[in-house]
Amino acid sequence: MTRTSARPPIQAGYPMLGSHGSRAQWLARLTALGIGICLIYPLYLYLHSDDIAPDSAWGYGFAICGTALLILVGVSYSVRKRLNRHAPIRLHTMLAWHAVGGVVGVLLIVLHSAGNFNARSGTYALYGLLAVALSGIIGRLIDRLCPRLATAAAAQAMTEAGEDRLYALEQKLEAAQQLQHARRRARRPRKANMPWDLAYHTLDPENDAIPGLLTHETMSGTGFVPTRAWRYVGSHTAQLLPHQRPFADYLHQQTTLTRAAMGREQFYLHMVRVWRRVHVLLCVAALGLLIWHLTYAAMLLLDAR
Amino acid sequence: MHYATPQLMEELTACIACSECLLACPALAEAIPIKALNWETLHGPLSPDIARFAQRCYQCGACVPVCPVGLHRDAMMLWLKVRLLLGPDS
Ligand code: HEM
Ligand code: SF4
Ligand code: SF4
Repeated sequence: MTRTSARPPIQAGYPMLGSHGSRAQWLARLTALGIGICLIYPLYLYLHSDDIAPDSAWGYGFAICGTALLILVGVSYSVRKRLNRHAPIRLHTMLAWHAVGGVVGVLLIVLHSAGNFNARSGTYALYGLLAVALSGIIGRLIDRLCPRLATAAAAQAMTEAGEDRLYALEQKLEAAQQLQHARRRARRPRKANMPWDLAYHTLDPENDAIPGLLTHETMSGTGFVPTRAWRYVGSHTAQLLPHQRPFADYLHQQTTLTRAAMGREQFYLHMVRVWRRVHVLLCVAALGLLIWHLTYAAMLLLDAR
Repeated sequence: MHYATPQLMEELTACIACSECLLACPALAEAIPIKALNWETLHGPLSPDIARFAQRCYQCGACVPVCPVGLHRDAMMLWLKVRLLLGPDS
C-alpha cells in the first residue's frame, strides 16, 4: 500500500444529523411522491363515492396492490441480500426501494381498511403491518444516531495515538515496573555465580509494586488508565501514602470514564443490530396475521357464493 | 467494538482486496475501490467518496460474515468514523 492520495482533504466531520440521502434514496422517495400525486384525483373520487369499504372494487384494488408491494419489498431485499450478492443492483438501492415501498404498501392497506375495524383478523393484520413500517422508520433513525454516538464513545476509549486507553496504561505500568526492577538490581551488589536470568522477573506489575508506580513520573500527562492498578487501589485505599492519593483519584476517574465510554459504545452498536431483529420479528408476526386475515377473507368470499 | 492501531494494521495487511464486504454492504451508495478504502482507513486525508461512505456506514455488521479471511470491516469503518469525528488531521 504505497498509494499517495492527491485528492483534496475533506473537512466533512461527522455531524450528528449529517449526510444527505444518496441519489438512490432520493430517486425512490421522489418516485413514490410522483405516484402519490398521480393518485390524488382517483383517491378523491373514491373517498367521495358511496362505496367506501374494504370489500368494494377500490378496496380490493388497494388490498391486492398493497399486499403485492409489501411482499415484493420484503422478499426482494432479503433475496438480494442473502442469495444474490453479485447482482448488478446495489444493496443500498434495494434498501432505498424497500423502505419507500414498505411505507407506500402500508398506506395502501390503510386505504383498503377504509376506517373499518370490525373484522378482527383484518384489524390485527393492519396493526401488524403498521408496526413493521414504524419499526423500519425508527430503525433508520437508530441507524443514523447510534453509530454516531458509538463513534464518540469509541473516541473517548482510545488514546490520541489510537491505542486502547486501558491497555495503554497497563503497558506504561509494565514499562515503569521494569525500570524499577532494573534500578533495584543495579543498586544491589552482585554476588559471584548469581545467574542473570531475566526471564525470572515477571513483566506484569505485581500488586505490591503498584503503589510505587503511582508517582508523578509514571502518571503525569499520560491520559492512560490502568485496570489492574485500579483494582489494587480500590482494595488498598487505606494503605496509600498521601502523595499517592491524587494519582489514585486520577486513576479512579479515568478508569470510570473509560469503562463508561466502552459500555456506551457496545450499547449503541448493539442497538443497531438488535433493532434489525425486532423489525424482522415484527415482519414475521405481521406475515402470520396477514395469512390469517387472507384465509378469513377467502372463506367469507367462498361462503358468499 | 473499536480496534487499536496494531489490530487494525494486522487486518488491513491480511485483507486480500476481494471486495466481498463492499458487495454485502447496504450503506454503500457509490463504487469505491477497496484499495483506496484500505489505504485511507489509516493514512492521509479522506477523499469525499470515502468520507461519505464512512458517514453512511451504520455498523450493521453485514460485511463481517462474508469476508473469506474473517476480517472485521465494521471495526475498520468505526476507526474511519473516529477519524472523521476527530477531523482531517487525525
Ligand atoms: C411493512 C413493510 C415492510 C416489510 C414487510 C419489511 C420487511 C423486511 C424484512 C423481511 C427485512 C429483513 C431483510 C433481511 O435481513 O434479509 C427487512 C429489513 C430492513 N427493513 Fe424492512 N420491511 C418493511 C418496511 C420497512 C420500512 C418502512 C423501512 C424504513 C423506513 C424498513 C427498513 C428496513 C431496514 C433498514 C432493514 C435492514 C436492512 C439491513 O441492514 O440489511 N423496512 N425489512
Ligand atoms: S457495518 Fe458498515 S461497512 Fe459493514 S456492511 Fe454494515 S454499513 Fe456496510
Ligand atoms: S471481504 Fe475481507 S478480504 Fe475481502 S476486501 Fe473485505 S475485508 Fe478485505
